[in-house]
Amino acid sequence: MQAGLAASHSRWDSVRRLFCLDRRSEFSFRVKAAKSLAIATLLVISSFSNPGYCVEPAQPGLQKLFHLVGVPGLRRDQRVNLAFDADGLSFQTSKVQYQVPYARIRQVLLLNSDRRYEGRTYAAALATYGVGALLILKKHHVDTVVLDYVNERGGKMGIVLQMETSQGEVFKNLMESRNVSVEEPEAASDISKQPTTTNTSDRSKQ
Amino acid sequence: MKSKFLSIAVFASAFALAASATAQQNSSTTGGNKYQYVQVNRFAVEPGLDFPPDYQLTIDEDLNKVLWKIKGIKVLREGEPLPQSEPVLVVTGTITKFKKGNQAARYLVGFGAGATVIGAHIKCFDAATKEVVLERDVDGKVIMGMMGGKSEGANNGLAKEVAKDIKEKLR
Repeated sequence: MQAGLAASHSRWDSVRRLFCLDRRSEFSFRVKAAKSLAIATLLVISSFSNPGYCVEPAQPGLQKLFHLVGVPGLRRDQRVNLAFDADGLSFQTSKVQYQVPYARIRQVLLLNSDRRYEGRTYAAALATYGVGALLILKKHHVDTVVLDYVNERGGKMGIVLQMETSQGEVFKNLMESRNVSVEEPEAASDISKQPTTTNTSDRSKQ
Repeated sequence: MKSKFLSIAVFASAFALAASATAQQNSSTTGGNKYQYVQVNRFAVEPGLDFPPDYQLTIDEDLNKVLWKIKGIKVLREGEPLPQSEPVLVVTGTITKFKKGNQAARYLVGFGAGATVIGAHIKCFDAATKEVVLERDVDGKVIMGMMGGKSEGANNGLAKEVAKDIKEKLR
């Protein structure tokens, strides 16, 4: 037992002798080692955190919005992700990708509306023998985005989305950062006040 | 054995007759139609009527979607250039009635309570001659449905009714 302890002690001494000569140098070695370790750590962290070297910069966007109408190939109330690309809005699901260039957007309205918890109500009604159906009375405030744009032939098109109120604010800020103004009408919108032309064709104007 | 052959022959001839009849019917639906192109204009709203803009746009999109499903018709959007040599039917409309309804009332009360109603006056005319081909009052309602039914379903109902009227007129 004592022989083993003595052997380990002598091994430790040899290691100390290898790296430092006396107590002063041991202290200086520790400080230097700590400094170099800290610098190395900082270098490693900075290399991982720098998007230019490691990962592609993620496009700003909004997740899990409710699609009501307008995006080809998507059903009503299907969830969709919205990315703000350099040249347009990109609507993405696992199967569908649809882009609307900013230059073709004519009007964007942000309205206050509400949704009901249909899925939860159904589950609650099943679980509580019908009493949970009263959950249908609960409303959930959301923001509705009405996007008015034209297609490549100049035809009027539109997309309606619903999102959380916090997302609505982010949407507005991101759109305005791309020079697309977002209107928030109080009650009746500008669209409904616009007189709809009954004759828009080139030929009918002749 | 003979009877087996006979029954197969009868079945095959019946199938061939049915197929030819269906093809003839299809050709009469599309071939007899004067208008191959339909332009849908966005519906206007009667002054004083508080109609949500998202509903207005939804009617337009739903109507385009439903008309696309009709065989032999090419749908054009408002603002798109029209083909010069082909007759075009222009569909216009005005929302005349809107009752917002209440999904909770539809689900919990029923019997027509909380119904969402959208009424419109539609007018379809020839783009070149301006001759009115179809003029009618239509409506879309949501009275019941899964968890009371979504109020936005009234837009789809209205679009389907308009498309049905146009399809019948073009037949």
